[in-house]
Amino acid sequence: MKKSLVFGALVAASVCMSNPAAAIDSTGGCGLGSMAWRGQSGIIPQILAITTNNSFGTNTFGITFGTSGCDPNGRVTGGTGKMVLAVIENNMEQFAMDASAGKGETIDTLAGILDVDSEKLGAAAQANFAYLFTDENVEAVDLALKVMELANA
Amino acid sequence: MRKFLLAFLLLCLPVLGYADEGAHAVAWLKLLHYQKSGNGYVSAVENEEFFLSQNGQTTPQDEYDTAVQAFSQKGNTKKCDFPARFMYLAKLGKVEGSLESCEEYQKFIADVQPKAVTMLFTDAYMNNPSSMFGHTLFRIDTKRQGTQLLAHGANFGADTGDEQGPLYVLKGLWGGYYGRFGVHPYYDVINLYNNIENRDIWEYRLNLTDEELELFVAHLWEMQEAKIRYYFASKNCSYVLLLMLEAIKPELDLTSEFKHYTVPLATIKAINELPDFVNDVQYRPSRQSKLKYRYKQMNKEQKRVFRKIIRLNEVDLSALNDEEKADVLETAYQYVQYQYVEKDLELADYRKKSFKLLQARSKIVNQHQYFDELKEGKNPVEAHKARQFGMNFGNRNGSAFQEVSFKPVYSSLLDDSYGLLKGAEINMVDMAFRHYDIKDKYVFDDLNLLHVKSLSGVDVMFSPFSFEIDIAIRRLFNPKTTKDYTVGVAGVDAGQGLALTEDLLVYVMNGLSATYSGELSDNAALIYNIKGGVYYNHDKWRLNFEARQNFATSYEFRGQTYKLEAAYGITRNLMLYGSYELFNTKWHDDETVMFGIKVNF
Repeated sequence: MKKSLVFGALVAASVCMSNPAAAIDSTGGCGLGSMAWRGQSGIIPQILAITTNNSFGTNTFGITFGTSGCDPNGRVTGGTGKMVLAVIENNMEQFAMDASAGKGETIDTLAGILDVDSEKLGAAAQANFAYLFTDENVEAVDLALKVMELANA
Repeated sequence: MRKFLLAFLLLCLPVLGYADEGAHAVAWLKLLHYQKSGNGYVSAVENEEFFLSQNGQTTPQDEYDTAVQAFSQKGNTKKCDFPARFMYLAKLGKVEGSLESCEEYQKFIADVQPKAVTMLFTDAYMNNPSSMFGHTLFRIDTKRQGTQLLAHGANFGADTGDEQGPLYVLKGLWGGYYGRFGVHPYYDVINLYNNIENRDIWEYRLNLTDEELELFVAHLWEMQEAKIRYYFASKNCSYVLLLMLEAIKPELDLTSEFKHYTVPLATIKAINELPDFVNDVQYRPSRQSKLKYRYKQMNKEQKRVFRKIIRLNEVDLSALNDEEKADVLETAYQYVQYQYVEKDLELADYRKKSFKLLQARSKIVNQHQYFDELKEGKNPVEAHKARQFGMNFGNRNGSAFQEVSFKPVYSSLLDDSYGLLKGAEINMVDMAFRHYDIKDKYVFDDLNLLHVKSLSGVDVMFSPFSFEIDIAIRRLFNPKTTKDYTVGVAGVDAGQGLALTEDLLVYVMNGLSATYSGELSDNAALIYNIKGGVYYNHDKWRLNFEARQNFATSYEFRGQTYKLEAAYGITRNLMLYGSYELFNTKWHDDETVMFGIKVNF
């Protein structure tokens, strides 16, 4: 005990806490700091094809993180559509990169969820990049619908 | 025959014992995180919701009996809150039934779809004092089709609210916060560590049986409500992760080694040392690591085009072939993401730039991602051992001496940096004693309570700060009397470095320190210093030279200091060391030269 106190007293640098400002550790709140980076529209999207009860605001192009805090359980959950949306909305900037390169981890993930060939989906995403990303204000829900459309084509 | 019987009995005893021990079986004690306390036990978990019995925290027997009773009652749903306890007791035949009716719990299993457990290590992050030692967390690998992006990270972190500063540190040290488990999709974990904090992630998959995996997930479910007192230095995230592993594999003893202090990397080394326990290692480099790697891979022309894009926002790719173009565009895009995270770019500008680069990238029809090519890294498990013992011979102002030194953690600039952050030094309670031939006794030389130094070079893409924190008790030289005195020092320096090559860095810093000594005419003094240095680190050879000018309120500290340290690594844990130090003053000078060896163990 003595030893640990000595150590304790000296560790001005604390060990292995996550950054308290970052969302990953926080139990409360939805997205926290990341909200500033999400779309400004703030309307809960009522898109017929997708149940979006874990989508708090519509996510336009931009980095997001910790947004799954919006789901009370913060877990990967739901059916195909909901999962496609969750992956796209929480990995938007990575997905954009992967779509333009026609390959990448988010493409593999989406192909897995949609049960389609990952290479084909990658090729389709690259070929249809202009269709997916019409401009820099693209929204996650639109994107999710278009990806599902490409996968089924 | 008797001998045979005896042998038979001996063989059977452990098995029989296990079943008969009831509440005092190691497995039960570990599952509820009981630890010996005086004559009895107390659980590390403090909130009563974690126990079925009112005396649960201190009485394993009560908890055991209450659990057996509750789980046997028809319609009692307690087993759904404590599925691991139920599974354990069911395996012993103490209770019957199944967990099928537990809706919430089954939903958890259905979301998580567990396939394996992976221990994650995120490497050090020098710009946040709470992350300098790295961090560990679990990942529950998923069976879902696709990738492990759909897996879940399980992180044990302190609930600190918004508190910061000294109160935060003090509370953290003395257990003023509670830690809790949080479960998040793995893509959130990646975004936080890889993309926001720019820390590499190492993934160590654990070799668990199906039964252990099932128990792990059930236990994690129970632990989500558990509150454990959080001690930054000892009972921290990494320690609690080891408790979790012991709970599902009670035959393991991982925690006893870490009773006093727990450095995350040491726990990762410990699990890697267990035979056949880690069966796969994967490296997931941070965005910054990938950016640096990509830039290094580019040819001259690519580098020129790339710099033009990131500095002037001019995208002129005409001099490049398609592959070279794709590479430059992807890297530039990721650099824009980096800038945005660092708040160097406005949202609108960021979107426009991002969009433009990707549009261009998508027109090169070539299904390949250059930015993802970096797959190999230096496994931190292979890094040098944390404790170090040194023996040196030297001469100080004509007087020969021998020195012994010891430091319990962690790494210094002169140590082998393989698997660690190059240019980062964190030492604690690092001490040295000297024996001078003329005095013929051992004298205390110095005690570095905390020494942190971070040297990182400004390059094309990044402009990090370099800094130093020094809290120590030292024997210093009085230039007028030439006698030594004992002094307490606390100081901070900040500056910037320039990376000339990957191995060579020059830096300048300035800083302020305060000293206190009962042996001086002015008990307290303030020192302002400016210093410049060179740091070289190439595999076996490490060298640090520093020249410093001191301005001080007391004459004892005024003067220039020149210090050269060099090391040659014979192995990763054994090095030859030499140093030369000169304190040049208006009165007498203090000059020390020293050679020796340092061993890590």
